Amino acid sequence: MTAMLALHHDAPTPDTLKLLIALGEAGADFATVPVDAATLAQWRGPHRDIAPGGEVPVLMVDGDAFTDSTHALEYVAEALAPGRLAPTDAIGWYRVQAWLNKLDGVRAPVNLLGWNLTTGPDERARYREALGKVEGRKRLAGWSAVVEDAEVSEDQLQVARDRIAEIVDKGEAQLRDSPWFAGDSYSIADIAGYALLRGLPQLVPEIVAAGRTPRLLDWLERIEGRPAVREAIGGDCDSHYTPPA
Amino acid sequence: MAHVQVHTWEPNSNSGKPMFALAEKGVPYDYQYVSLPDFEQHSPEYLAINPAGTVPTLVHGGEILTESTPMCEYVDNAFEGPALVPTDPKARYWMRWWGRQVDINAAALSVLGWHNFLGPMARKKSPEELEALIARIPTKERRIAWSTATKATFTDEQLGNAKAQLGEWIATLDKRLAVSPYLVGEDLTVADIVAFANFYALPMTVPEHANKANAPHYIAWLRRMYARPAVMETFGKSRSLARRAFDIAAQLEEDGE
Repeated sequence: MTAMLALHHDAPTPDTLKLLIALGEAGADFATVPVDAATLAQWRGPHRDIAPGGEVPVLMVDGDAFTDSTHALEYVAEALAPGRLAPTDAIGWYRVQAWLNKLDGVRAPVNLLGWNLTTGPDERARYREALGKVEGRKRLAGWSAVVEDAEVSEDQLQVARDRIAEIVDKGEAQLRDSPWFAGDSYSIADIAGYALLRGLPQLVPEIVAAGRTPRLLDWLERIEGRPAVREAIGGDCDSHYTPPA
Repeated sequence: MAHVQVHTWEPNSNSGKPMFALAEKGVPYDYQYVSLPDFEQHSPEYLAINPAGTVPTLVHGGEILTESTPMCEYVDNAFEGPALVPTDPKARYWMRWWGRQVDINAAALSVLGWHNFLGPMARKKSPEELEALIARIPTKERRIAWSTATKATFTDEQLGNAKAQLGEWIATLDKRLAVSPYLVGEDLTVADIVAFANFYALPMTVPEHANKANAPHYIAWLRRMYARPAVMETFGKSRSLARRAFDIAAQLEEDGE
């Protein structure tokens, strides 16, 4: 039985891109529904009905809304490409999940830095103002609530750079041990890693560059050469970043 | 069966996840106690095993595992015993989705945990001693986080927000647990283990939200979890914070009559 699939997505931000690539690699038959995140369409009308928290992308699977892009990615690997996009043995699957966790942990710093270095203060102010008008948007009360709806400081950007350098170094070290993030075969860990890290050579050339991270650059190139990846990127070679919500 | 070692603190929060998972699978393990209030997770001995200085760490067959939720899936895959992960891929998605909600809401709980427990214990140390302990934390990010945390005292508003978020989270759990006895259906899964490891003590932490009148299905789930032999056996290993589980279990028993 084949599941009915639809990907509701915005510009190829890291989370959208990883699902587009994985669905392509799986050879899945899926519909796409555009969501214009630049105009905050994820907080309105039909999209908000399926994703009350304003999540983009959303993978619809037979009427279930998968709003968590990383766990949706695991679903694609397990249900649509068994054994092809992730190892199935205990330690192999752990390695995939451990990398996905690490990558999820740096989504915020990559997006924070990307958003701040690729937009101007006026654009950010307009975005914050529009976001401030969204009704019923939930803010979490944990440590992250300390981050204000304001321009970030140079210190915060430096913390983001440090965290990015940390994952980049981990990736470089991993690729010294094995050709792919989770071992001998290409997996969803590489797909998620590529989608998140591909913009770094432009964004932080002091961290990702031939003299410092040759293996990571080679790995990005190997992934970019795959037909499913080229298809997912289309003509759009720029990296897109998710503004803070 | 290969020898399993778990280097961790109490059966509480992330530290407890592999302990409950191994106990449910019936896998014996060597419990290496790492005292968080004494910053033992940043000792040279511990960093030799896990350079990131986080707990828990599971060691099995030459592999070192340090991510607490994936570790639970590993335990399920690597050992015989009752399944802790459903076979249906959609059910697996929802199991992991619940795991993510647990992590998000555990952040609110960690504010209260710090305020009530770890913060006061850390502040008993002299500033010089604290500084020295923070200096040996391996990553800059965690040094900044710990340095902020050891100085942090939360405002009443911040504590109130954290409690309100936990109230909403309990309502979310309660709504789901009205539909099925466990978070993903009829049987216990990794989602219940990670939720319970974080939220077993809410009747004590936020009694205004976590009570039978307010959240009967959540309380019934807690009673089911506390009735599991693997759970109580695991709490029996506690040396400090998680001993409170016995008081909570007794209270739930009393209220249930």
